[in-house]
Amino acid sequence: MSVTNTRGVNRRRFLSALAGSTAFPYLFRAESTRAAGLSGKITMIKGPHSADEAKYEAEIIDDFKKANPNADVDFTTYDWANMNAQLTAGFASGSPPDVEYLVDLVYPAYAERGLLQDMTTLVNDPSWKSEHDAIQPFAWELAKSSKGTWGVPVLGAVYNIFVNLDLLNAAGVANTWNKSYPDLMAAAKATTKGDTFGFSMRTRVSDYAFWDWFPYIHNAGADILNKDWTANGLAGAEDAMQFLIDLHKAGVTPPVGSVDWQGQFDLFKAGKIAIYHGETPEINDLLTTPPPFKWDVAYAPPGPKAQTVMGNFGILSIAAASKNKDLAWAFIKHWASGPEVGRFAGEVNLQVVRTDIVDKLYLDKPPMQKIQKDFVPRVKGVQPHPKILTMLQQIWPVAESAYLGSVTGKEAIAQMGEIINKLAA
Amino acid sequence: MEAATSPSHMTEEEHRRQRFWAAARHNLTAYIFLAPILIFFVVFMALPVVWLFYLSFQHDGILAPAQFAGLDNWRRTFSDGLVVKCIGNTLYYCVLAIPTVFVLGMIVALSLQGVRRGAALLRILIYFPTLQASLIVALIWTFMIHPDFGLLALSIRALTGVKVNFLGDPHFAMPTIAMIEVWKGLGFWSILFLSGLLALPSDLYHAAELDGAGSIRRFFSLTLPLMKPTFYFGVIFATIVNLQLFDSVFVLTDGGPVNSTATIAWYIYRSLFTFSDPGFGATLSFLLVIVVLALTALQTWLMRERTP
Amino acid sequence: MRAARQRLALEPSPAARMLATLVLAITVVISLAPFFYVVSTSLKETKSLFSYPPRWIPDPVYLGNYLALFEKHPFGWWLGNTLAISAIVTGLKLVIDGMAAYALAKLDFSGKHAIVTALLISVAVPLAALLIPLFLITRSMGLIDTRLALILPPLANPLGVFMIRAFIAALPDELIHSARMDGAGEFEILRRVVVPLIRPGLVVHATFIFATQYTTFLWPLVAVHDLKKQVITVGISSLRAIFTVDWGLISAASLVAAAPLTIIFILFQQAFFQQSLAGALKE
Repeated sequence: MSVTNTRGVNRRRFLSALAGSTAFPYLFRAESTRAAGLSGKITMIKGPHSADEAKYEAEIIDDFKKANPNADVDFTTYDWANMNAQLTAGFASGSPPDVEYLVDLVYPAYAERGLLQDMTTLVNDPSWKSEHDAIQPFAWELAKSSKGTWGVPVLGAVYNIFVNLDLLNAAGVANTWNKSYPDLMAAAKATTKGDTFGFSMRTRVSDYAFWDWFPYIHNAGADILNKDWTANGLAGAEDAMQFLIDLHKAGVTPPVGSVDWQGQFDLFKAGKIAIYHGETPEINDLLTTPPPFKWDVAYAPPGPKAQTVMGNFGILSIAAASKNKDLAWAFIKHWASGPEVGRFAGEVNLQVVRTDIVDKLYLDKPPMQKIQKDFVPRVKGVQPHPKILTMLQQIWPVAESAYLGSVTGKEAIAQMGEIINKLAA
Repeated sequence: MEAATSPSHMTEEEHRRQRFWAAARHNLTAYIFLAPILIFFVVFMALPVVWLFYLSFQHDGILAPAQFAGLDNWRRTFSDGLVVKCIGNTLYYCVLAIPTVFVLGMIVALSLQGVRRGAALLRILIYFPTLQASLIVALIWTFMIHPDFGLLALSIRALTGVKVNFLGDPHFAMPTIAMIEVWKGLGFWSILFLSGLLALPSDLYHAAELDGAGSIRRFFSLTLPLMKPTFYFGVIFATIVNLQLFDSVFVLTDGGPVNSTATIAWYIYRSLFTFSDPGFGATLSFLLVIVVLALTALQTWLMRERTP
Repeated sequence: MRAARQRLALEPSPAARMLATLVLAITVVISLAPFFYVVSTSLKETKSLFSYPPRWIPDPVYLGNYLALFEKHPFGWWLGNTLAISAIVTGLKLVIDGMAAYALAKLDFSGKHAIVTALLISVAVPLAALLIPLFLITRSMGLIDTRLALILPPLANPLGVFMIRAFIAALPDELIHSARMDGAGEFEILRRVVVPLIRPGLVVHATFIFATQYTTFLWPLVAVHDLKKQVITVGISSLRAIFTVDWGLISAASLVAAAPLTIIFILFQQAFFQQSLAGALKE
């Protein structure tokens, strides 16, 4: 390298420094967490996944501020029971929170109305590719519609079955109960005696009972809509529906609707239900206050077409009206990164959709590990149609009346199909 | 209000002018009295109602720009089976709850009337449920009706051997909610009727007693007729409030099972927030207004006094 | 004492008295027994609503739920906000409704009928329906997430006007006439003549407004997001985390929330019933 005079060297250094500083943002545009200079304030809203939600979020925000001392994140929660009211109010106000945690049931309606930022270009940024690819494809499917990508999938809850191994062992069905639907029925009958029931699943519309119903529908190869979101009248689900109706008529469940979801969980914990449809976060409760019996997690028996697991997932979205989308995007990437989302999931006992951290999670909680490793890959989630929540809530009363024995599986599916077809039109 | 005398030294013209200004001053005073409520009313009630009416002819308008919908929403309202069910459920609930709470309230009020010592304490204890918010009432009753150890469930099972599926059986769900609301409202109505009873003139009772009328006779011929104004106000007030039943349904059943507890106000809330269909929700709101007004008018007409 | 005895001189027969006592005993039991379980749950270290077998008496007694309310949650803020807002609304409402009711009951003026009709119609409009337009109006006034947003809209409800109007209308017109003859202005009449006479009605109205404001839920939910400015109903609702509802905590919260309202009600109803009896004694 030829030595120029001092001025030349200085100039060259100055020019390269200048070039570097202009290149800096180009190089790291999508990796702005490495830049020390992101500033501004954004708000984030999310539903609480534990009583210590604020504390865990503060950890994430503090880590973000270490890399971006001039940035700040104001975190609030919405109330799950009133989530829609609060989100709608937020969007209607014209200045909604910049970052929103939205569940798959809910975000499509907002996306359709243009309230969410299409993140297709952001998530496909080549500099973020390794992170993007660490997230499982099925999760990305949940976050997309034909019109765009609406958020980064981060967390999910799997709807697994809990089994009371002692009850199953005593009835001699511990190894066979989930081999087929008839086996499930037989096991449920064998374990129902006195005030103990063999089986329970959610039935009330206020409990979002369709989550427990979905695996049976998916296992029959049916779904609310076709792949292209045209309606198909829930075709193919008749037998699955009939099976569920038969279960509820066989006297192996608590009287339909007499106990809500919390009540069913309490019954399970007291050893009064052998096969109970629940949610993974309940594992936390079972581990903290162990019930007086041996238990395990499981998924529903295979149907004619598949053996799937239901899960419901949340994405981190950016509001279209956000005034600081760059900061919002930076924060989302931070939140979704391995260390952060892994720590958070471990604290609240939820599933992650990243594949790279799975081996390090839940080392002290075998059931959670089992779910993360065996169940999550089997997940077939909802179709994020803008009216999906409406459809599910409007068809559910038909299911209720079916479980009560008023209609057959065929009639129920026909009625549900009609409702869905009308809404999808 | 006319002046008692007309001063003879004023001309007809001056007289008319004086009356005009007196009336104007009078109107002004009245409007000053009414100004505060009218201001708030216009800003926070009339304006939203007008906006709602406008929304009923639009699609959306809240989360997305409004698109003119013509009579679409109105047509949907009249062809939606759930709307009919909601109206039916709401009326059914009123028929269950209002007479029940009135009868029970009167019984309690009559019992309270004769109490001399400890009346204050009793009133407080009886009013306690009325003071609670819906969430805690729901919590309490979730326990009471639990099939395995709810106090109420167990009592019924002990007495009749029947295991009632309170909130799971579509036939029992609305009556259960009515029962809960009656429990909650009993305090209010007891106290209201009690204050009505205490205001009744005692001399009439003395006279009746002297005439040899027994207490039952006195009740039916004196008390009930004299309580009419209180009852009339009560029925109208109860109807208006109960037609808007929402809280218990929202917390306990979310309209189920099989839409047996779906009320009009519940469906409005759903349309606005869950189904994200504000135009439809707005239309339903107007339907509710019409139903309430119609019923109120009917009741007022039925209960009109022959003497002004 | 004798006079009061005179008032209730229509002595109920012993049978009637026994029946009344029975009725009242049953009523008190029915009204209060359900709260027993709430108290019991609030003193247990539990997240479950039910335990099998049910333990009625908490053993050991656990005060952590009550402590957690104030240590882990802005419960004090919620209580303070709710009390302050309810008190302010009640005070303002008494004045606003009283004035309007007097005008409607005792003053003649043009447009009276139209105003009565308009106010009457609005009583029928459900709050749930008004939420969004109200929100948008409040937002355009820049009041979202302020305590003013919780104070101003409730002042618009005209139900109280009709209640007080009924009380004022029951007063004899001569009373007002003679005061006017004496040269009193309408404000003075309202203040000096009418208000003292309808005090029991005002107390009933105040209790009702206060209790309604104290337990209102939907509007604060939508209008206020800052938990420090929130009221107690929404606050308690927010204690419901998704997967395990902490019933112990919620039970404790509900009881503590009910305490101030109960105390205020006790104070109010003393005044009200004293007035009632005093009024009856005049005969």
